[in-house]
Parts: sequence; structure tokens; C-alpha cells
Amino acid sequence: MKVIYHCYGGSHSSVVAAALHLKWLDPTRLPDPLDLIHLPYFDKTQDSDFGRIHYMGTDESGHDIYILGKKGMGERCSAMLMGVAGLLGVEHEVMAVNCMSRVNLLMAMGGFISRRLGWTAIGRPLLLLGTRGAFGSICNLVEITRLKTSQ
Amino acid sequence: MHVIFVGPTGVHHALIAAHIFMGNLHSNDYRFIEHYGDIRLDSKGELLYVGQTAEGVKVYTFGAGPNHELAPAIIAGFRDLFGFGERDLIARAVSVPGNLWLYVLSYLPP
Repeated sequence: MKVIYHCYGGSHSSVVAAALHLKWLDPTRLPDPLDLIHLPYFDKTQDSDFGRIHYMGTDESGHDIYILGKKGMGERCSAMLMGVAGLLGVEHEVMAVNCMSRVNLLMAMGGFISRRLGWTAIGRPLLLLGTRGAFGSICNLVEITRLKTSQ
Repeated sequence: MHVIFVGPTGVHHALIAAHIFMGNLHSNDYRFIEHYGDIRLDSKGELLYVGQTAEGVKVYTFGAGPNHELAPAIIAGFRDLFGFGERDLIARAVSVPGNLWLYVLSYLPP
């Protein structure tokens, strides 16, 4: 199965979710800022990355994990991917997971300032604070996803 | 083969484009296109099957919201993940001037 975590920029919540899924981050311990900064794609994507599905790794059950930045497509992105999967006959081989519901205000503001405005020095500390605040909720999302993929 | 026309909504210009593609549009009076302007249908967020060409190409529309230009790239990347190609599925964005306004206005309550 292929699991695609998607968020606005494919740079923050989806990356953390993918990292948790791949056990690069420990769900029982709040990650240090450096743990987050060292994740691939975390707060590093460019405009050209929007709409690109990036492979992150394969989990212990053989599921391929991807991330995607879908801008303001919202939940429609999941519906679109699952609809296309249906046309291709692979709807049972994919799961699209929207991470936006787990993003808090600090993450959104920090991400916007860092990525959109390019003011990393201001945006990144806010983003890291927000990501640590949302960490438990993202862990919960990943746990639900892992349970679904194991069924 | 499947063709998907993606607009901010799937029931306005994407739907017109789909009918032009299928050779079904014989008049500029779009009101008579089935599902034209049907926002309730669009709000379901599902692919809308429009029909099939004489060559057997199945045609769909999808409303992807204000960032709909991104959708064809996402669909192409997704298709490629599973080893399919353009012979199996193509998505095209359909844009008109004032896309965003049309999207916002179409979702205002009557």
C-alpha cells in the first residue's frame, strides 16, 4: 500500500507525520528542534515542490510513504486522489491522509512566514514551537493511519 | 483511457470543456448542459463522470477549488506512482479570467 500524507506546503505537518510513520521520530518523546530541522523536506521546500509527490521511505510492513503539498485544495485532494485511484483500479492500494486538521495557528503562521515570505529567522522558531505543540495530535493521526493500513 | 478536466468547480467551465472535448456542445446556451452550475453536486468533492467519446475515452470533471492548476501535476504524479501513463489517464486544468471570483460567488448561498 502507498500512504500519501498531504498538507498545504508538503513541508511541515505531512513531513512530521511521515517521519512518525517511518519511526524516524519517537511518538513518546517531544522532538527537539534539531530533530525536526534534520528531517528531509522539513521547512525546506520551494514553490516548485507544490503538487509533487515525494517518496519518504518504506515502513516495516512494506507500505511506501509519501508526502505532498496541495496548497488550498483541502479535503478535496484526498477525494481527488481516491477518485483517480478508483479509475485506475488501485483504490485498495492507496491511502490519502489530510494532515491539515492537525495544524495549529503557530504552525500555520510560522510556516507562512518561513516559506511564503522567506523570513526563516522569524518564521522557523514559531513553526518549531507550533510543531511541538501539534506533535501529539499528529502522532494520533499517524496511529490511526497505521491501524487502517494494518487492516 | 480517462480524461479529467479540472476547474475551480467541476460544474462550470471544466464541464463546458469536457463537452467541447466530447463534441457535444452545439450551442452557447450552457444552461442546458446536464449538471451545469450544480454546486450541490460539486460540493460532494467527487469526480463527475460526463460521458464517453466515440473512441471510448471516458471523460470526467473535478472541482479542485482555487488552486486547481495544481491538480493535473498531482494526478500525473499519482498516476506515475502506479506505473500508469498518459495513455491511461490525462488531467488538464481549465482556467478562465476571474477563476477565483467565480469559485467564491458560486458558493455564496442563493
